[in-house]
Amino acid sequence: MRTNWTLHVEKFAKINVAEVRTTPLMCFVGDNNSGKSYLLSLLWGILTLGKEYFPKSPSEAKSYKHCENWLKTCLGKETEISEDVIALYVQWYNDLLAKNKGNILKRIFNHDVDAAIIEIKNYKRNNKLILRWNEEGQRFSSGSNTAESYVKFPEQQEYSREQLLRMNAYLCWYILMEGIAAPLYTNIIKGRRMGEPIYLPASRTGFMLTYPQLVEASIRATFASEIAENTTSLTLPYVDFLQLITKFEIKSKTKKTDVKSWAAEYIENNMIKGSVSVKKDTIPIIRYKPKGTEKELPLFVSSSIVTEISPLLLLFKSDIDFKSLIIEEPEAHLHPELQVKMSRLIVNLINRGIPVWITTHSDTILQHINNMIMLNNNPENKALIEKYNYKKDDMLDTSNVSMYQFCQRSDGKTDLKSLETTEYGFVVPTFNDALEKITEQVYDFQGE
Amino acid sequence: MLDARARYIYIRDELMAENYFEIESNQYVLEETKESGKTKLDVIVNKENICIANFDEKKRCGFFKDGSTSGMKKCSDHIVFIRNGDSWKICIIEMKTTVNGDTWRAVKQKVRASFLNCLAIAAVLGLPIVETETEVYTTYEHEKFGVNKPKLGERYTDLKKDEWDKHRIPVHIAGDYNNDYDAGRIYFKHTAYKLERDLDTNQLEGVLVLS
Repeated sequence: MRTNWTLHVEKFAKINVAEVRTTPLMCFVGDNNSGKSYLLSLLWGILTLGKEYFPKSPSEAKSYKHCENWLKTCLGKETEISEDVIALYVQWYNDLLAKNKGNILKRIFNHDVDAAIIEIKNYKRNNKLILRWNEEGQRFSSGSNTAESYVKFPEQQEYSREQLLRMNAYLCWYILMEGIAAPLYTNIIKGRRMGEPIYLPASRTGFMLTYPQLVEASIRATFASEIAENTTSLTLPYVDFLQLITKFEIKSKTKKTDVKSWAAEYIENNMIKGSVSVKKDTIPIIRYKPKGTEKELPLFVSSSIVTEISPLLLLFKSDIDFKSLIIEEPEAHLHPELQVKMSRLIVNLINRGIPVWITTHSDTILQHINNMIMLNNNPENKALIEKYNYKKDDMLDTSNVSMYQFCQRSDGKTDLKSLETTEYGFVVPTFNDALEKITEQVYDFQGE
Repeated sequence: MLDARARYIYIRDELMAENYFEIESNQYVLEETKESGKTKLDVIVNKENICIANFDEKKRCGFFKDGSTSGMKKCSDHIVFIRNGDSWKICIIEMKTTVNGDTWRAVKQKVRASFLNCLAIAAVLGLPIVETETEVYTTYEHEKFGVNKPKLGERYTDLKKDEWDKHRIPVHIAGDYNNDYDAGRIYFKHTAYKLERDLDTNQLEGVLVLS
C-alpha cells in the first residue's frame, strides 16, 4: 500500500471512540457484539460508497475552494503534490463525510445508525504523488510504482469549473483510496465497478446454501443512491455479497503467475481438496467436485469447509477485479490446521498486493501471523524457511500489520485498543486472558 | 557472639510449632499419602540436615497472598535443608504420579512458594542459604508432556525441551524486564526421578540420596 490513513470515529453504534490505521493486513478482535463488523462495514462503505458524495456541481465550500484554487495554479504544469496540498484534499473529503455521514450510514446499515464523528486523519504516503498532464486524449488516468504515483489529466486551453470539479474529485479520491478501492469513474463490468472492495460476511455457509432464494429477494437492491432501493433486511455489505455470488463464473484464461490464479489453486489443492464449478443460469449453480472423482455434488450435500470457502475460491476463479478484501471470521468451520492454511493464504495475498482486513476469534490465525512476523525477523530465517517449506511471501513485516481489540466497557459501549507488538508478535489480551482462565480451571479441576 | 548451631537448635526445638521438623536423621521415609499418587520415598542424607516432611500441610509464612491466583497458596511436598560447610542449601521434593505440562506449571509455582517460604524459615533459624544451589527433585511414574498452547505475543517455552530435559526449573521471582524472560527467573537444578510401582502396595517407591 502506497498510502495509509487513520479512520477516526466517535459515538458510532456501540463504539465510543475508535482510531484504526489502514495497513495491508488489519485484524479486529474482541468479544462478540462489540462492534467489529460495524467498523469493518463502515470501512467497506467508505471505500465503496464514499465516492458518490462528491458534489454534482462546483461547490462554494471553503475546503473545496482551497482545492480548486490550488489546482488552477498548476494547470498544464507537472507538479509534485505536497503534504500541505494533500491535507487540503483530505479536509475537503472530511467535510463531505461530515455532511453526508447520516446518508452513508443509512445506506450501509439499512437502519438508523448514528456517528458523532467520522473522519480521516494522519494521512501518510511512502512515495511521491505527481500531477501530470496529457496533451492527447480526454481520459483521466493514474498509476504508480515504488518511487512515485501519478494522476494524469488531459491538457487543454481552458477548464470550466465543472471540469475542475471532476478533476478535483478524481484526485481527492485517488489520494485517499489509491490501492484499496476503485478509482473514480472506473468502468462497471457486469454490474460491478472494477477494483471495488469485496466484503465476505460471516455465515457464508448459510448464504451459500440459500443464495438462490436470497438473491431473488435482493436482486432489486442495487447501489443506486436512493436508500429506499435496498428493500432487503440485510446490510449493504451482505447485499453486495449476494450480488457478488451472481457474478461468479469460472474463467479459464488467467495467468498462472497471477495472484488470483495462485490463490485459487492453493485453496483447491490445500483446503477443499477438489474443485468448484459454476453453471451459469439466471442464478449461478455452484457444484463441488472432490479430487479424484468425476461426480459433482451440489453445495447442500458438500462439507461445510466447501460451502464456507467457496465464495473466496470463486472470487479468485471468476477473475473479479477488486483492490481489497474484507473477511469476517475467515476461520469459520475450519479445523485448526486449515485455519493455519487460511492464515497463510491471507499473508500471501497481502504480500502480493491485496490488502486483507479481517475480524477473527481465532488465536490460531493470529498465532500464524505472529509466527510469520517472528520468522521474518529471525536472523536464521533462511534455514527455517527451508525446514518448514515456507517461501518469501509467507513472511510478514510487522509494519504491514495492525491489530485492534474491541474492549467492552461496563456501560455497554466499546473502546478500541491498538495492540502492541513484542519480539514475539502481537500481544492479544482477549485471547491470552481466555487461555489463562481455562488453564487455571485445568489446574484446579485436575486435582493433585 | 551467638553460636549459630545453638541458635537454630533452640529456635527449632523451643519456638517452632510441634513436629514442624522431622527428628534429625540420615534417613527419612517421605510419603505422598493421597490415593491418586501414593508414594514412598526413602531419602538418605549423609550430611547435617533439617527435614520438613509434608511441607504443604504445615503452617507457613502468613505474609504471602493466599488466593489461588497468587501461586503462593500451595507448596511442594517435602523440604530438606542440607549443610555444606558454612552454608546451607535447600532441597525441594515434589511427588507426582504423572507429569505433564499442566502439572509441571503447578510444580513450578509450588517450588517458588516453597523456595520463598524456606528463605524465611532459614532466616528465622539463622541458616545462611546459597540460593543458587537450591535443588528440586520431582518423583514420578509417567511423563506425558504434550503440546501447550502459546500465548499470543509472548515467549513460548517448550516445557519438556527447555526445562524437563535440561534438568532445570525456572522460578519466576522478578518482573520480565524489557520482555527478557530470563531476567525475571532463577534456574534451579532439577532432577526427575522415575519411580517404580510396587504391585503389592500399589504405591510408587524409590530411594533418593541427597548430598
